[in-house]
Amino acid sequence: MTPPEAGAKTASPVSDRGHPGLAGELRTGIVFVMRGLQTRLAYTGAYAWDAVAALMAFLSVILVWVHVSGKGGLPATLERSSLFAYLTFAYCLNFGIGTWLEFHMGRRVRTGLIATDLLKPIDFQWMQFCGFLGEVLPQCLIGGLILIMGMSVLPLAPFAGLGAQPLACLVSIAFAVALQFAICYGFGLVSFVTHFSYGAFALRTALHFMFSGMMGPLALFQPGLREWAAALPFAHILHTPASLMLGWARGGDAWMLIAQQAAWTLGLLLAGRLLLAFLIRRLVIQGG
Amino acid sequence: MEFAGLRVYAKAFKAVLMTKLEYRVDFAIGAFSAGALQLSGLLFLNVALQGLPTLGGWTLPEIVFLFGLTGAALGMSELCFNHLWSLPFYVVTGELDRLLLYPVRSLPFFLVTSPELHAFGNLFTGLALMGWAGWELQLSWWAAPLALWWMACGTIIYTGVLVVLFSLSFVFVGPKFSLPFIANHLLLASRYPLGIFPWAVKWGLIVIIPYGAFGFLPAHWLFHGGSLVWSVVLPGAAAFAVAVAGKLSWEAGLRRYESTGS
Repeated sequence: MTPPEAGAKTASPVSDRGHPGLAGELRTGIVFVMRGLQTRLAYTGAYAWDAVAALMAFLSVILVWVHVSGKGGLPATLERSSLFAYLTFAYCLNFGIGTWLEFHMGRRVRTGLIATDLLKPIDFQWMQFCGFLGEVLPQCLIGGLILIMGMSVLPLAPFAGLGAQPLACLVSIAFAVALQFAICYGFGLVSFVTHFSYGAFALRTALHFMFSGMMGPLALFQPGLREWAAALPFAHILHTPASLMLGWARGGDAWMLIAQQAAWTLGLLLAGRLLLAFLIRRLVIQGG
Repeated sequence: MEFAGLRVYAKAFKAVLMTKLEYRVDFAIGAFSAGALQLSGLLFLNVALQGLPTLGGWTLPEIVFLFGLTGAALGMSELCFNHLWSLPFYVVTGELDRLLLYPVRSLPFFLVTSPELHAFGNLFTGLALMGWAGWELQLSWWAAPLALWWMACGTIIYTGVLVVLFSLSFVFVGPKFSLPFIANHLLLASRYPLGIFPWAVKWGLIVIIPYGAFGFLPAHWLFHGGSLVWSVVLPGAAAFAVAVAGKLSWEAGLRRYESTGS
């Protein structure tokens, strides 16, 4: 084989392909969504257990509220039917967007396969988002079906927001999905500096449980705690879409909440990109 | 001969633990996060109890004691017997083969060879909550050894339930197996006084999955009176029964195990 002449430009496996462009990124993204979907659907039997496990996670919350509301422990401003409509929606959305993204990213880092992910001519964050979408889309579908079944049992009056502002509800749910990814992606990046992913996952789960509205409407929190919840992005994952669904926020207030969701989502996505750029410099891949 | 054999398990456990403790940042994050998860449940309790002085007749310190007892049992199980969570993956990839070739009893050796760092967070948070509750309630000194006995029984009960459920992964083969998460969530549900739950849930958590045998019933005796038998004998009996069930289901699962040949 004749060696290249001095000064001749040698072909690079990456630069030859070049950046795929926006259309290429979108096409590749769809491929990753489909791959995530196929991986998820490969074990369809697991869905039933996933839904039951998610319900068990909510079981203690629901049963405690059943007891508290039965003993007159709710404030006068919150009706029992509204509370359980809220909890039903929160459970369905929480199940829909449940993800193990931190563990997926951590496993790729530990095994060194992250190197192949970073070398692909597609944006890493976009690739992770598409895989996340493939994972949660079937869950969101099942969560939606469970919600419809729940609405057929529960009184429909609390879901007044869905009929009055359906577009705002859908936009808010879409931003909730994106915000969930942005937060999980940020915590998943911790895997670049740790050996195990559990700590990041557990911390995110704890903050999510405390401040997303999963344990109940944030209006039930003490004033100081309510301020903390309002200052963090977690409330916009469950509580904001629920507020719109139940008509607690309408018109301009609803769109202001959606704007906050959008701002948190874009801000955290940008922060994730900056954090990745910083962490890549510290990343060591085991050779072999 | 049996006691000499126990040294193998202890050495294996210690070797893996020392390896994992090398990762200090992981230890700090994991322990802190596990403690935060425990405390998030208390936050919910704080929110729910705003309109009521008690929950089913249980005051806040008494419920905190239940939280601590459950958290400590969970922490001990995760520290000593956490390898179960890798079982579905090992079944799929055939990595159980080498375990079956070792000259040890497969179940205890498998259980002890993956201590988790975040278990320290659950364990210490649980002990701290029990200590605080004991101080608030002015419990007598003999409550401490009893609480340790209940914690030990709870560790065996929780682990036994997980062994039974994870043994089903020999039947429902796949890398992801969600059924054991139900056991984990039910353990978290048992942190609350079972009297507030519907009778089916209450007796399910006492008889079928006997978390109430090491938590609710003994604590009920401690705070509200009752038979000493419930507090001392029942947790041990439940732990023994669940341990036997776990052993039998593990052996039944192993009989169905097929290696991948790789």
